[in-house]
Amino acid sequence: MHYGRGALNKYNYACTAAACLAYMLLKQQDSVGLITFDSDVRQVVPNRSALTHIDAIVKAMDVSKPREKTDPEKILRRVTETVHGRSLIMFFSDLLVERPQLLRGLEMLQHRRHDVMVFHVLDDDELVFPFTGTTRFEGMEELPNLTCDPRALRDGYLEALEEYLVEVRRGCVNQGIDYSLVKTSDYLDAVLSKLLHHRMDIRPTAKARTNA
Amino acid sequence: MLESFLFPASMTAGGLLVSSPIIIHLINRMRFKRVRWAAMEFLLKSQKRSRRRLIIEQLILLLLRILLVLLIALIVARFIGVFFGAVQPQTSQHLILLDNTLSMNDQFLENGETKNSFKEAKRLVVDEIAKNAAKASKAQQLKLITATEPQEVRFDQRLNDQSVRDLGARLALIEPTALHVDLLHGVKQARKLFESTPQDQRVLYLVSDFRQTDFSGPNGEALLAELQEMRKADIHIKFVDVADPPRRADEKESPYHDNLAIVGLRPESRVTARNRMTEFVVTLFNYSLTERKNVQVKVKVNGQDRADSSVPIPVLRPGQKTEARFHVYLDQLGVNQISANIDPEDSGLNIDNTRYAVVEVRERVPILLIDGDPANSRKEGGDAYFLHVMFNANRGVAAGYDLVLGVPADLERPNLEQYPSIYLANVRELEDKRLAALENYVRKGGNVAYFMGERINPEFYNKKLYNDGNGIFPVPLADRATAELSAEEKEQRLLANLGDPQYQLFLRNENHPIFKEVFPYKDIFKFLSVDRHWPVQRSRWKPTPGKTEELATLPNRQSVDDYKDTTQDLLTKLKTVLEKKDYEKYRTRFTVYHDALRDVLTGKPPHRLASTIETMLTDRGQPGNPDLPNLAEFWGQTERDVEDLRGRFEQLRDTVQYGDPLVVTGRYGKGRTLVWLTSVGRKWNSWAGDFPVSATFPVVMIEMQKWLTAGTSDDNLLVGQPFTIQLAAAQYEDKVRRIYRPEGREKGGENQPEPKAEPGTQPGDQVSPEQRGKVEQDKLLFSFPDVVKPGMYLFEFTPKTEETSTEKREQIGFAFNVDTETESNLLRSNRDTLVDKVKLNDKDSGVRFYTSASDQFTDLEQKQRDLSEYPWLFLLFLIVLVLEQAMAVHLSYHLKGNEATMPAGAMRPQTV
Repeated sequence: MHYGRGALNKYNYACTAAACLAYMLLKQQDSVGLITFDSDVRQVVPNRSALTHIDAIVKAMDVSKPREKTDPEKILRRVTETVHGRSLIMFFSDLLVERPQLLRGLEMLQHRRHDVMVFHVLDDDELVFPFTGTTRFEGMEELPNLTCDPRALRDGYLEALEEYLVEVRRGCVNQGIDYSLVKTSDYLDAVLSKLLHHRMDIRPTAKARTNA
Repeated sequence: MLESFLFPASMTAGGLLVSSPIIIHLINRMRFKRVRWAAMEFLLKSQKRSRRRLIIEQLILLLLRILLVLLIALIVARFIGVFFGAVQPQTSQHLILLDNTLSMNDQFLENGETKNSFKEAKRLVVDEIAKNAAKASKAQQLKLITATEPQEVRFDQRLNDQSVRDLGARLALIEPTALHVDLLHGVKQARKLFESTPQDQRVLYLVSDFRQTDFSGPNGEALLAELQEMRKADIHIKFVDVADPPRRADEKESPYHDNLAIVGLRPESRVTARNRMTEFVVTLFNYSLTERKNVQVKVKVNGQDRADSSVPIPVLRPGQKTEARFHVYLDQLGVNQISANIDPEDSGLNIDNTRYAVVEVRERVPILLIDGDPANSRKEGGDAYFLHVMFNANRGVAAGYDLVLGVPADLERPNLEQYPSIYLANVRELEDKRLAALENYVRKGGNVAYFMGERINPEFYNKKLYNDGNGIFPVPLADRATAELSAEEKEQRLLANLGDPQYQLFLRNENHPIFKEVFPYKDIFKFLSVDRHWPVQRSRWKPTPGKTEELATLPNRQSVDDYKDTTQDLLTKLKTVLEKKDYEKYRTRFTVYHDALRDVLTGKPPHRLASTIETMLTDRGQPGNPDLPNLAEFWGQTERDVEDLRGRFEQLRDTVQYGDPLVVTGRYGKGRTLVWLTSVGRKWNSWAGDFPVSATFPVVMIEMQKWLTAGTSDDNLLVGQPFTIQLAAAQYEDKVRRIYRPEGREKGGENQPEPKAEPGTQPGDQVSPEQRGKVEQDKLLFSFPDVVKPGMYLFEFTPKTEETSTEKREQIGFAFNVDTETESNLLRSNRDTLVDKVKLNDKDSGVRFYTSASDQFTDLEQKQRDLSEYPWLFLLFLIVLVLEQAMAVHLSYHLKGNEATMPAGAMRPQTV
């Protein structure tokens, strides 16, 4: 999550988005909590509804420096165990994890009747793969290094990425999870505005389904 | 392997560069960027999926790039192919043997410009041979030597544009010479030069005008044989004919320029008196196929025209010599240069249109007379009285001579050479020392006339002077002179001759200068009385043709009975021959002669026998009269028996007719000798004095004196031939100065003073540095190998005296002329004959003949075809280049238009 060549890296971008949403929820007096993680849960901020709670959330995000590879199933199980009531769970991640474990974790949340939103944060470089010249890609999060000509691997890379995105999106859709792919180059206000509009659009449908 | 490339160094470099794509690849692998990357999963997946394809594609790209480098190396290194077994020579050695002999001056007009064969040769050497050879793909080394100085290599460089220019500059300094040399020397030198480079391809260019005189005869055969030997040594022989007009391929016999040459100029005497007319004989040869008319021979004396001496020649027949005589008035003391000139020709050789001669003019021509009886020499009745009458300085019949009476001891005097001729009249014998001095004098060009008398010691003459044919006397004498006739015998002989006048002297050569004048009046010799003479021992006499000549012969005075048996024998043989049916018609006529001869044998004088035989041999009969057939026709039969019989009859006629020789000439060294086998006075004959026949005596004597001094072999000295002067070491200092005196001296303007000349020379003379000689025993030998310009040369010696001054120096003049005999005939050799005689076999392509108009010189390029000349190599290179580029693009080394777009999944609505 620390990759990024723009103004914000993925982690910063995700934190900013999360902070905005937390602030917005606290403003309407909803209680908001925060769990940060990498290979394990690193910070847990319990739910509060006071507006000042935003400080604790922001500080927890600031303190957290995720480094290790994420085990999503383990993390999401911890979330399931930690959050007892039905809640709106917004999951910010680059989702560069094992897809079955991720989907299993999300399924657990879905079974607890949480309203899950997945914010899939990726950097533009990860989507476009614009690298040229011999490059050594040093694997973050415990992945091996690879020295290659990136142009020679770009097509394969984009193809694998495409498969991955389809798989993730399909997994989310199948479980009724809101899935948003967010690029770090996107304007945050636009992204949030679009999200809120989307949520307002699907609410009647969701209510009708609930009533039915 | 490297011999497969014209530029192997380039291929070596190319071979090293082949690894450059790999090296670049490895270097690029070491120079990489570092990116910390999270989405390694997709990258690894991508790499896993396309690993094999990538490796194959990368390898293909690498191979294509290596192939590109290899192709570039092949093009630059100029791959000529792989040779199995034979190793191709890397260097060609071209050696040009440039003929610069006299005939290369053969000039012609082309587009208004006068050119000659040598100019054409230089043009062909530079523009055709050198430039074309320089285009060859291998290294080309060119050497140039000339025919006259083959040991000096005039040019030796590797051919390129600069060296070809250098060659032109060097050639501009070389001019054709006036020499004749055998091309064999040059060819042998060429072979020697080739021996140092046996591994190279060797080509000899014989650039010449290929005149027939150079390539025929023993010398020509030897030259062609040497060329064939070179061919056997795998040396290519290329004949380059530069003569004009250029040969055409279909011409067997090539046309050649007409040429007129003066081939001889001979003065009547090499030494003559001042203010006298001297006769010259000029000989012209018309080396043309057409007749030449009205040719004017112009004469110059010391460079000044003598229009009064010029002689017109009405007709010069093709292929023939023509002689003309002219007289020159010589009034300048010393050595005079006389030249005969004909007008320059538009084409042909002009250098042979001038011929030089040298005549030494003295106030009087001294003649040393050694008289065996000096006390009575000047007295009437003395042995040499009539010689005094003839050649006395003051009142002699022949003006311009000074007969100096001397004694045998005078032969020991050091200045014997001052006498052009020496007479020995009735001299008994000479002491050895004097004999040696006389021999030396004749050997060096002096001339001696002997007159016989009763004092002669035949033993001395035969042993010391004749010396078995090797001495300075031309004949061996009999033991004694003929017996003195009594008064009765004299009267009887006179009366017999009056009744039937017969020749008392036979002139054997009507063209010999001594008797040429009197020959038309030879009948007067019927009244000559030679009472006594010294017979010649014919059995011991070994006359050498060209050296000894019998000019006058006495009649045979033997009895006819001596020839009876021989005559009978021949008549019997004749009868046998006539028995053949073919000769039936001659039988009757021969019967008449048979009877006449038998009649003569019955005590008639021998001259009757000779005359009858002569009549029989020359009888032409009467046409149409069968009784008088043409016997000359019979004697002209080629049947062996008839030929043999005719020869024997002729021999019998001569034997019967001719008695003892009376006048005989000979040669010794460079000098001439003459023996007068009777007395020069009236003691033994009636030639001199006041007899009717005496009218011929002064003429014969003067002509004899002229002939004696008419020159020796020196008058035909040729430029370029080794020339040696021999002097007595005791008499001359060991130094000589050579002076070349040009005939046409350019004089300065009127106001310009005549340039000052060294003592003994004239303005314009070219004086060579003083030269030292070689001493051999008591002789001083001076050699002059470098006389190359035709004209007059003076050689100045210093006698050993107490005071040495310029006045004391002695000068000898010689004329050197061009060798017209071998160079003036411009007839050309047959091309096919030349090539066929040098070729090893019919398929031998190593011998070629080029002409100046030939366009085949391009094959001298010896350009070896290499890969760079084939278009398909470049096509292959282009294809590989396109493939490499396509491969490179395919492997994404070049940006595509939509390359920066995101995957489709990322473009979909971001929120689901």
